[in-house]
Amino acid sequence: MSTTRHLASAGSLVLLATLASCTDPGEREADWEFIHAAIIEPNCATASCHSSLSKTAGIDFEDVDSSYDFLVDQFFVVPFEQNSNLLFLLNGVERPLMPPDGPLPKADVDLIKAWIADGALR
Amino acid sequence: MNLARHLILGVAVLVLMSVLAPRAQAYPHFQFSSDTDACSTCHYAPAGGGLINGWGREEAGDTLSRGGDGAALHGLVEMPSWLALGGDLRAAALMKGVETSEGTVNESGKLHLFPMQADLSARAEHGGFALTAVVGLRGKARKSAPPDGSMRSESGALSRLVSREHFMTYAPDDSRYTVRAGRFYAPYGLRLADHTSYIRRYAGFGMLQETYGLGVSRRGDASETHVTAHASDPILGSQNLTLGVTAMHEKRGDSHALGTGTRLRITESTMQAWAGGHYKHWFEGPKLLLMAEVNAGYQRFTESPDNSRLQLLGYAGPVWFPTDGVSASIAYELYDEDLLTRYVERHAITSTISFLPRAHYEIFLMGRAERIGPPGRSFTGMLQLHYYL
Repeated sequence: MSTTRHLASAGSLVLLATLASCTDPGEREADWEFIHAAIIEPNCATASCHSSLSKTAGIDFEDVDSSYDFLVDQFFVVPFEQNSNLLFLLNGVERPLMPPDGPLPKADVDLIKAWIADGALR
Repeated sequence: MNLARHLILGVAVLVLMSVLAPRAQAYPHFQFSSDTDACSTCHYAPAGGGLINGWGREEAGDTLSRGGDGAALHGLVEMPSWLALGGDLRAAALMKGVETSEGTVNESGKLHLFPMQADLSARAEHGGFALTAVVGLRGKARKSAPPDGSMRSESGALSRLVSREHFMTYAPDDSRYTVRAGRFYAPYGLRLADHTSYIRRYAGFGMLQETYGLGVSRRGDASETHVTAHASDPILGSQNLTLGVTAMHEKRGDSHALGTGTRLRITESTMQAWAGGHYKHWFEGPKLLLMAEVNAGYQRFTESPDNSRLQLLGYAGPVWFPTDGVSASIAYELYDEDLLTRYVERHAITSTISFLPRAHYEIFLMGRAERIGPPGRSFTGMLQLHYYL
C-alpha cells in the first residue's frame, strides 16, 4: 500500500473519530485565560494590529493580565453587562468591526458574551 | 456538518494527488524549471524567500516575466560579487465586505488605499559567511483611530520602521549544510507569499511573525531539510516569550515535491503543535501546478486543560501559467480552530492573478470569499502594484 493511501486511511480514521465526538460551542469553558489564549491573542494581537510591536490605537493584547485590565478599566467589558462595548465591536454594530480583516466566528463571540454574562472573572 | 465536509475534501485531495502523481512529466514553473529545482536556486536564503541571486534575476527577466533585465537596478550598475541589494515596494487597494449574525457591518464596501510594503534588502558575504538584513516600513491598511477616543494613535513613519529579517549564514565551500542565526521565518510547508493565507496566518507565519532562531539546512540532490529552534522577538516583540522548534523535509522528483513538517510552540499559557505535509505537482502540458498542504494541530492551555483542542489547516488548488509572466490560481482554504467544537471553522476560496509585464514589475489581483462559522461571511478584493529593485 502506498504512503498516500496510508495517510488517507489514517486521516479518515482521525476525522471520523472527531466527527463522533463533536460538541456544541457552549460546552467550552468560558474563562478568561482560555478566551485570551485561544481567541484574543491569535486574532487581535497580530503584528499589524494590537501586538506589543504595533500597539495600534495604543492597545496591546499580548499579555493576558494587561489585556484584561485594559478591557475592564476602559469599560470595553462591563461584568454582567450584555451591552458591553467589546460585543458591539466584535459584531460590528455601531462600531468598526473587530478584527476588521478576519471577523470571529459567532461561536467565539458567544463564548465571550457568556464570559461577560457570568461576571467577566479573571 | 462541517467535519463531514472536511472528511470528504481531505480524502478527495489525497485521492486526487495519488491518482495524478505518477503521470505528469517535466517541471513546476517556479520551483523546477530551468534546473531551478529548489527555492534556494533562485534565492540566497537556504529555504528561499527574500533577496534573489544572480540565477534568479536571470530567470526573472527570462522565463518568469515577459522580458526585461532582471538584474539589480535593471543592470545599470554592476554590483561587486560580495554584495547584493534589493528592495520591494507595494501599493495596495483593498475592499472588504463582511456579514455577521447582525447583518452587513458598517465598513463593508469601503475602499482602502495604502502603502503595503517598502523594504530595502542587503546581503554581504565573505568566505562562507553572509549577513542579510531587510529594513522597511510596516504596511497599514487602516487609520488607527482608537475606538473610544481615549488612547493614543500611532503616527509617523518612524514608528513603523522595522527589520523583518536580519540573519547571518555560514555555508562552508562544497558543503550541503547551511547554518543560519538571526531573525527569519523557520521554513515550513508551502511557504506561500500571501501572509493572509490560512496556512500561514494560523500556523504562526503571519506578517512580522518572523522569529529569532538558529537553524540548520541541508540541501541534497533531490531533497532539502530544515530544522530551526526559535524564540519570539525578545526586544520589540511579544511580552510573552514563545519558544519553539520547526522542522521540514522535502523530497523532489522530476515534476513533484512532497514534504513533511512539524512545528512546536510553547508559551506560558499554551502549547501548540502542528504536523503536516505539502505536495506540489507540475503538469507540463496544461502548464498547471497543483499545490496542497494539510496540517493537523493540537493546542493545550495551561489554565484550561479541559479546553484543549484539535485543529486543522488546509490549502489545495491549482496555479495555471497560460503564458510567460501570467499566472492564475484558485485554492480552497480551511482553518478549523477546534475540531471538537461546531461552528468555529473557516472556509475560503481564494483566487489570484499575477501579471509580470516586465522584470521588476508585477500587477497582482486577489479575491477571497470566506465562510466564518455560520452565519459569518467575508469578501475581500485586493489589487497590488509591486515593484522590486
